[in-house]
Amino acid sequence: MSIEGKLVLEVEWNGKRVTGTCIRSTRPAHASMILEGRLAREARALVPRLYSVCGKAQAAAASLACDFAAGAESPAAAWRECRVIGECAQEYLWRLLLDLPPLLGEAGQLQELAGLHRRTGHLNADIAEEQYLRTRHGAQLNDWLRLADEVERFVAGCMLGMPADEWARCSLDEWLIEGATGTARTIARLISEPMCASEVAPLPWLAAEELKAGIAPALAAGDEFMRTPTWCGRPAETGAWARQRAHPRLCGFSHRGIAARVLARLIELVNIPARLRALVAGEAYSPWVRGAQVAPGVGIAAAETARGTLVHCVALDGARIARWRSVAPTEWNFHPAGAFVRGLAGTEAHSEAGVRRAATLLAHALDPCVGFDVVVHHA
Amino acid sequence: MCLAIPSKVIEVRAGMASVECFGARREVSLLLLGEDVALGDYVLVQAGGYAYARLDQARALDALALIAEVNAQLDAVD
Repeated sequence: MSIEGKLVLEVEWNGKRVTGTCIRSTRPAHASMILEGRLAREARALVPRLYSVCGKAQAAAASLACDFAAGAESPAAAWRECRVIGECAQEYLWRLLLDLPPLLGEAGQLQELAGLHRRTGHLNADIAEEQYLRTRHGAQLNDWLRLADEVERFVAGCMLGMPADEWARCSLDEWLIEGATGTARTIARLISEPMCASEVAPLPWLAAEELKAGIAPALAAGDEFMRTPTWCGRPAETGAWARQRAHPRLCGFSHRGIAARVLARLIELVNIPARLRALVAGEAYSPWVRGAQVAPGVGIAAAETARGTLVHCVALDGARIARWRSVAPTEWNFHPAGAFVRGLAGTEAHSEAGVRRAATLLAHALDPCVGFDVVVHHA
Repeated sequence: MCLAIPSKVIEVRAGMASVECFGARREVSLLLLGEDVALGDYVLVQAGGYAYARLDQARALDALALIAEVNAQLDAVD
């Protein structure tokens, strides 16, 4: 068994369609509990070392939850926000250019991505928040502007085939049909795949009040919420599609399932340079990293990631962690009755290979932060 | 949650490396890394098998110790 855990996606198929899906997870959803008993300043520094996947978002949510718990000032807000957004861009580029294209018979764009990494990897280099606050070393404002410029140029040249503002105005159907870029061809191919749309509602934007009144009590009520989270008593889907579902591009997009999830990622990636510039300019924005004090000594914070909303909730006993609970996006989307299970339900497939393909593509669209295996059972 | 296990580089050849963590060995691409790696270095590997970051040894060993603690916790529950 891999230590980081894995999802085993067991799919029942009757020769014509999917009749049921069960998810077995060996992900250590309760891993955050090893932070309990430690000094808060030690624990918050350990979080990105423990949770390296989306480590900057993990660090941001953990630090902010600790700050709220302690009733302390949180001085690094803009820096945290830029790091989280930069990390999201990196994850989207990997998904869209490395991981997804080969599944659809498209060549990945490793060389182009490697070039971007060489030019920009140091701009969002890993540095502990405590070190940043002490030394102010690490990414400065100009670095984020440079990252914005690099990502914008890269996306326009390698993915859209045109400047972002031109893409925003063009006919999406024509862009897909023309297929001038690998990204366009990848999304176009997804449209011909099973839709795998589900009726699972998107997780709404969890602002401070929702975190405090909705998520914190659920985490306090029992540890199961970390593994099977719900919103208003029901599973919910989190990720780029949940955040962007009202975007005009998505509202008018007829393919509501897998392709829409991938298109949503592209939409967010295209908007990331503007978001970074707005942050640096000090413009008002709806922060991707936010939180609240639930009660004296208890803080909760959320950070948006490429995979969706990540939450940390911390209770202090003096300077030490009394209780640490977390919910990752994967647990929302791979809930036993969530977007993956409901999306695959009833999917038509006339071969085992077809079942496996649909399940694999839907899993990629919902993007768990661990590896997964698809197992097909003949019903 | 979202653990990425630091993997130790045990062999390097053109653009690829063999890495090991907790006894498991795998082949990874080094093309996303903007720096050279050497035997004994620790790297983080993304889902598609591409190393994307090199960790300094202290940080890697901290992470491995934490992950081993999580693993021990899971074993105790089982």
